[in-house]
Amino acid sequence: MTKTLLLALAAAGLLAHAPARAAEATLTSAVFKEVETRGPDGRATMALKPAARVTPGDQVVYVLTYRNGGEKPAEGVVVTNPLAQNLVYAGPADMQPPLVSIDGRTFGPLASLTKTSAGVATKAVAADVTTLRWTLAQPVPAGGEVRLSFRARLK
Amino acid sequence: MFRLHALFASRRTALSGAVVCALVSAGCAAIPALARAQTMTPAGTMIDNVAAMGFTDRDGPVSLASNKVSLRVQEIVDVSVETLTPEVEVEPDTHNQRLAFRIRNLGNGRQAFDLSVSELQGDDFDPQFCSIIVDWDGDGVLDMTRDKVSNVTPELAPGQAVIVWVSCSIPAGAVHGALARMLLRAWPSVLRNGMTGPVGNDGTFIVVGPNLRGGSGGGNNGGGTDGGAPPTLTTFATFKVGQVNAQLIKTQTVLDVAGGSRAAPGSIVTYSLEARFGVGANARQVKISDAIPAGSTYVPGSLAVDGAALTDAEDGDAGRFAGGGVEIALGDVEAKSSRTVTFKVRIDPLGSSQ
Repeated sequence: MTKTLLLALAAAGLLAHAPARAAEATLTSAVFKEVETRGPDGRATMALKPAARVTPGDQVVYVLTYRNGGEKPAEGVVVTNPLAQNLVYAGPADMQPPLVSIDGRTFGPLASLTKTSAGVATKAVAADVTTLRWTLAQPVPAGGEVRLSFRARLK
Repeated sequence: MFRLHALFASRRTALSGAVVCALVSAGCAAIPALARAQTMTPAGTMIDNVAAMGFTDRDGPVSLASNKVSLRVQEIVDVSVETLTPEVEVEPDTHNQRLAFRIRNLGNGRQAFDLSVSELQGDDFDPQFCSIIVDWDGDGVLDMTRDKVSNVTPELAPGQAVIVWVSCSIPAGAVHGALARMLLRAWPSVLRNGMTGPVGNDGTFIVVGPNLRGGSGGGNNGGGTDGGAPPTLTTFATFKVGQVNAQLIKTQTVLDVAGGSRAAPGSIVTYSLEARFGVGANARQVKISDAIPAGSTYVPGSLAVDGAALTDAEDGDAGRFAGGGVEIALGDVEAKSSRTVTFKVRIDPLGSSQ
């Protein structure tokens, strides 16, 4: 009885504590469409525009922004993004490629992953990817912000 | 004896006797060529993305989720028109001469398509009183009690196809060897009046697909037999005037386990073999034989002639299933008539040996 009560109190304490700490850190997800625009000099540049009307085959860019709003550095930051089943991973959109997984458990560069079907192992392809993961090597300082992004294509 | 063989793939028919047997190879494509998996995300689908993160601060591990960001998939409308009968031989002063086409919904929403038939300018003669007949019940067999003359298809699911016949009269003055090239166009009914705005499935906006965008005529050429590109001779279906003895025209329709038209293991393929006999056909002891394609299994009891079922056994009736194929003895057939044989096969499970 006492034990149960203590556990309950501990759980309640954690619950009360978590939102306060989570409020110090924010992770936002946004999605854009990549559009080619030509400047006055005729040079093409890619710009991110709001992804309003998308159709199958379109490529979109997801941008995840982590902001450490706390007063201390955050260490061992790991960001995970499960892919919706109607999306196909289409590669990194910046200089920080994620590790990928085809089963949600084993992560690595895509070329390192194999899938087994009917006893035959073959190289995994982008369409097999189900989850993306970034592990930040450096702590994120207080007030710091990290942007991660990837491309995906609509099935 | 008068024997008509239908062979699969692109091989020409074998024939015996002085009989012209024109197998329409386009209608006889091997089953794998039909397998076009429809994988486009349906219009109106919401795609949600939520990321999660974890880190450690002075109080221990923390995890949190991002906001949810959603995309709503809009509708692509697109269509293809495929010629199943590239060239059909006809005789002057005949009626109900038919060319077959397949209309397929290439979009990601359910749509019906307006149909119109036109004739290539500058060909040799003008077929008359052309009408469009839609295979309304989807069985691949023309049957005017269940199919109908229509300038619009039924609503087709994404990837679903329907067979359409263009039926014309051939004028008495058409000379031997003359050609008439017919083009069938399909256009999404939803765009009939140049409608814009959220008129797609589930209130989505419509994006016009590549087949409807390309080609000449300011985009109105799309969805034709040519697939939107400028018309080419090979993409028309052609009436050719000649003395017709007999020809065998084969078409197929697919019904998958989900009620769609995907060729996949378990799908039922209905084959229709239409034997047409012209004025030159003094046809006695007509036999039609057709092999069951590799990778599929005959559906017992599915053999029929002109809608009347035949038993599979070699018995009193005209048909039998034996030795991996069907054989039908039609007996003596009158000139200027046609008979249609139908049978079904089921596509075998993957990896089964055949």
